[in-house]
Amino acid sequence: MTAVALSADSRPQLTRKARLRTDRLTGDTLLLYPEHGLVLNPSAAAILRLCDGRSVADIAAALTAPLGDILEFLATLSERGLIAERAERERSIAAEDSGDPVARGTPRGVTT
Amino acid sequence: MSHRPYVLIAELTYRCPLRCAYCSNPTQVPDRPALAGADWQRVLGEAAELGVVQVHFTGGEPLLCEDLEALVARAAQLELYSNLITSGLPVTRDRLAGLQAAGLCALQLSFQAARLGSSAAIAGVDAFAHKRQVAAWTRELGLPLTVNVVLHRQNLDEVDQIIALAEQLGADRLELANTQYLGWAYQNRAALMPSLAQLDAARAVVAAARARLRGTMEILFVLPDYHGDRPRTCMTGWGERYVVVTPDGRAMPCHAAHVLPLEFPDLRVQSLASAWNDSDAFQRYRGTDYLGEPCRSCDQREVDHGGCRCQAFLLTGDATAADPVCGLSPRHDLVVAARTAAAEAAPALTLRRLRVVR
Repeated sequence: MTAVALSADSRPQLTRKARLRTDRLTGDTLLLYPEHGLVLNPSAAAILRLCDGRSVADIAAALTAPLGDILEFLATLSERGLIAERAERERSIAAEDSGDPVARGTPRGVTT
Repeated sequence: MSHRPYVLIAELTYRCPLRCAYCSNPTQVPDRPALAGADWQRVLGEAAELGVVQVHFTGGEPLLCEDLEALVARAAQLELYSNLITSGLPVTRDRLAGLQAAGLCALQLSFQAARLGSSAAIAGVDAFAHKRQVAAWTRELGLPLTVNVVLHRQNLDEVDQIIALAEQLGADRLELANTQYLGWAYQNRAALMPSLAQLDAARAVVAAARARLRGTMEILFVLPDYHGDRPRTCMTGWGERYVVVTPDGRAMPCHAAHVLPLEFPDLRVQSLASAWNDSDAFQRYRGTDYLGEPCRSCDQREVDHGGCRCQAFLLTGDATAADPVCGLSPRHDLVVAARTAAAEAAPALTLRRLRVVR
């Protein structure tokens, strides 16, 4: 089980350990996860706010930003288990919610 | 002026069902009433206003605090990322589900060893089976799980089994923290300190596992400073990013600062903002101005701030001294002597117990 490579067709979403919020002192967008927090620059924040189930290609189109840059940024978050493919995330949750013993003990996040 | 608290470490109680010999809690606690639930609620609000974005509910054992659910809910209302740092004792699946429903974001569960039967010697009880159950519930509920194991001479050789356990439990994150010799751990230093050979072996195992598990399970390996020759940047700097609130309502820059002869602000009568910004205790070792030689002229002083203030005081009696773990400290001999003593002796462990000073 390792981080999967993202492509233009991938539909990334934040995993459940990751939370986006606005910093009340600075207005910056923060990405919080266990024991860590990242202060996002405006373009990173814009990308993550669009990780709502649409494809990476659609995100690039919406932001008129180079696809390669977006993939590179998302890959760094995927390596930290902070984003996952939508379909896999839903499958993983569904399996957990059904009490499927096979899915228990399977780390959430990027699944194979 | 760059100091802003990002993380609040909320120590809800000193009580704990475990008696770990490596605990960093004070060996004697003051006879003061616990901070009331209403005061904790206020402190959370003040923390959020000051810039805190993460809160760790810890102790002792935070599950022993009756106000835990209400505090988790308050943290969620304030958009704080809340983390429960627990032994898993005592908890039921229902209570975990309730905490999650209240808004708990993540759970950090301690293990003392990699298998059944070897935790009692270090923790007084063997809760291994129950802890496994708690980890399974955590995963079933979909809460992010960090497994935390404090490393020392008795379990360092099992680090490969500990990593396997964390994988098996489905942990998102594994924290392998070598013992910091403060609190109870300082009393047990000679019995807990590993050999350099043990450390080197463990480090190699961790490096290989980290490469293999990249993107699946993050592994943090905190090296013991007694075996290095440069000090760690304690808490990323005194009063820079972290604030600790003790069970009796004192604000401190570090969870071990209770060893220092400072008057820590009392949050029952003072706001967290005034504690953070104006109190002598928080300003005393902020930055590097207080440092004397060899730190003052050292090119690393803005990096490591001369190391841990608590350790400097504990070992030399001077909290402004260079941390003796630094090879440049004139008292580095104290650390060398402690390593030698640990290698030559195998004293018995003194397990933690609650000692209240009246």
